[in-house]
Amino acid sequence: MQIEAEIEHVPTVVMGVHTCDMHAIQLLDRVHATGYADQHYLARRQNTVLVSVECLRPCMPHSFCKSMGTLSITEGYDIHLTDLGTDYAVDIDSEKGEAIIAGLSALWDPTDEDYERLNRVMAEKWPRFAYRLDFDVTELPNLMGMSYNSSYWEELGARCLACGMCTKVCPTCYCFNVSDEVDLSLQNGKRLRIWDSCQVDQFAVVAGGHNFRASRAARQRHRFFRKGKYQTEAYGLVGCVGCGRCAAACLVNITPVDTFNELYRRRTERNHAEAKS
Amino acid sequence: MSAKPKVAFFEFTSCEGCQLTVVDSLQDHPELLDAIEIVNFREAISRRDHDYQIAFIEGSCSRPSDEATLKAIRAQAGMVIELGACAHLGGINTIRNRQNLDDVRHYVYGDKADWYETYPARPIHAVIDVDAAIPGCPIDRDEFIMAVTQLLQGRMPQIPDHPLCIECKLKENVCVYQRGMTCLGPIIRAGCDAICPTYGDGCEGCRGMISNPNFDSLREVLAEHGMSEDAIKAKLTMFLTYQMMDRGGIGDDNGATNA
Repeated sequence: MQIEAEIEHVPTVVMGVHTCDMHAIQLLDRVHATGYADQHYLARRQNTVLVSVECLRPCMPHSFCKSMGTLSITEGYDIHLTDLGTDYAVDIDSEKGEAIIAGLSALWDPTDEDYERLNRVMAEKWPRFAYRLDFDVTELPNLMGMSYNSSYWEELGARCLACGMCTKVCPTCYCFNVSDEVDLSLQNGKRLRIWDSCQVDQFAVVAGGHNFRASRAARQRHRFFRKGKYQTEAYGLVGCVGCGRCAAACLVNITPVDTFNELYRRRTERNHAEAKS
Repeated sequence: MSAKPKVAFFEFTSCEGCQLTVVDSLQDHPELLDAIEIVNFREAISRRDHDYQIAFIEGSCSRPSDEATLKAIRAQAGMVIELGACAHLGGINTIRNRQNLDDVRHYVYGDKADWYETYPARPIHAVIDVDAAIPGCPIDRDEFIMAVTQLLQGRMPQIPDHPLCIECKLKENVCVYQRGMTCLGPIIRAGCDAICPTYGDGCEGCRGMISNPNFDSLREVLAEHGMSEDAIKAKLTMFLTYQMMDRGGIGDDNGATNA
């Protein structure tokens, strides 16, 4: 019997990738190339052209990209577009991107005036976005480290539905499960990878039926530690890119901004109390 | 199993829609008949053979006299599998469990009420041991085929124990709450390919609750989305009455029980 991995990689162009998602893809690239390199991801990634866009306005009320440092992007895309009103500024960061624009008659070399237009658009965009974290994002991993035993996790666990929607809309969540399916002849089958979620009850069940994250509080803590600490320590990039999608999806209003700020508030209060005593 | 296993289908209080789904599944998977020998299946064949290894049971048990039949099936079959919401949860038949059973019987049968025996409806596993359940109202035909395949492999059917929201998001559906409706998805078992939200309606819970639902939090969500206490109760007791009453009630104070 011969079993071969089927590596699907249809050439794909992804148009209009927001800058937060570009940061997320950079993280995924590192994750999937580190340790056991993921041949499926990498093959697909190599066959993908990313055309990103400079975000000029917040795309939804929950986004907090400015706080996470993901409001702009300087590398990693193939083609990056900035809307100048009547024209697009085009930036290229790869040979794939070069090959696509080569010979396009609609392009011209930027003039000083074009650079001025670009600078103006870039300067005008920043004030449109608000800082929403009460502290600097570089403090986040340390804050998380000091918040492991916070009572806040139990409060989140009481509200959390464990529905997993937060992870299913997250651009940096990639955990998966593997299942085998066979047909009725029992002669042919497929091994499938399915996107999983650390928020569901059965995620951390191991042989013998033990569940090492049985409570919703422990699972929410794990999720926020992934986003705020573990990813940064393992891959050098922030694990939460501030897109705000999980906040928009959550039916019980659990959001990264509220969570990180509340942990910061409690930590600061505790620091003050300790300083006094 | 070397020889084709003999399979029988039985029905108790139900609409037999799950067995029709089995018939339906043969359209996509006629090779099912190469893999198993169906010896008892009144929806599709006239054969009535009582020598079988696998029994699929549709319907809830809703009268004392059904218990002997169920016990006979259990004694014969090596593997007993609940087929669909009525067998698996008690289903919509258990709505009556919240009410006075005498009143219900007279409402339904009028002056002939005394001719009919009845008792609180219950899932099959409340009467006999069962080995597995295929949930849903009706069952999902692909899940049925997958369950049979796993039985042929000597494995137990792998039924999801994660909430519907996971599957619904993978379908890239817009959350029905964001469309101004309500849904039981966060506490209900996936596996139906999120069929109701995909076609624009909220989940009614026919596949039953996941193992550890955050029930109180969902009730608050339903209330925040404009549902009255009565409407919430009604939603939670369409398919889930038996499970709800087993959990210690739903706020009725009339002494009704599942027993």
